[in-house]
Amino acid sequence: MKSEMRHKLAQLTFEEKIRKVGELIRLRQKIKTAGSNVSEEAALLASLDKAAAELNAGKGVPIERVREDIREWAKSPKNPKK
Amino acid sequence: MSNEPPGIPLADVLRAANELLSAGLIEDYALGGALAAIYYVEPFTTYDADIIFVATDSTLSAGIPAIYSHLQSKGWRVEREHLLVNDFPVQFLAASGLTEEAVRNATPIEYEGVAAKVFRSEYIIAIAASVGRHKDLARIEQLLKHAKIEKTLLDDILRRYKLNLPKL
Repeated sequence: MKSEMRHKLAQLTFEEKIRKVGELIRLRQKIKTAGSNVSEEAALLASLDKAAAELNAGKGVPIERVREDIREWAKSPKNPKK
Repeated sequence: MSNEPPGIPLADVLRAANELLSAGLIEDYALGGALAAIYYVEPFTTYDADIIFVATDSTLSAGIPAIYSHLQSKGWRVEREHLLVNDFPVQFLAASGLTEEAVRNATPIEYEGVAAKVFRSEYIIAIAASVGRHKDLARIEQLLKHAKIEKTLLDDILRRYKLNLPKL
């Protein structure tokens, strides 16, 4: 902020300054709330990525793979795909 | 209806401090911390109000349990080290040494019709110099630039409390 502007703001009455501090707090809270939604979404995506990585690492079987296997088994039940 | 939190309920805070004074729970008080600095400089974000008080109770607890109990009976809530009025955190801090002198020499003000006292800029600078966090150094710089400072008083406080201003 320019020094001239800061000096002007410093000349406001205390009541006006406190009102402006209240506005700043509200603005920060809004930004924080928006930020926390973004981080929640990021956390969800990260957990999905982790789950997918775990599945690919053999800790589970992807649902698409299960469906594909079931289709295979349905076609030739004697030779299920391993 | 708006979900926005209300502004800073400073008048309620000062009114409550005056009640503590009338009830004899504190001997004197003044607004300190960031809000006191804002009295002299441009507004900036702060998340609490600091009320620095001179205790009437000379025990180690400085009468804080009685203060809390009085304010809780008036509907204030306690959350960790803060008391909350309309969800706004307020800290009641017992004064000693430099802060006690700051309370005793604080400037009388009127805020929304409520009589109160606020730390003089020279004491805010000296207290910030004694604490020395990054935000305190920024506060000193702001005050030196934008507040009216009585240099002889500031020098005297700094000398008596063996404090130095940081190189800005």
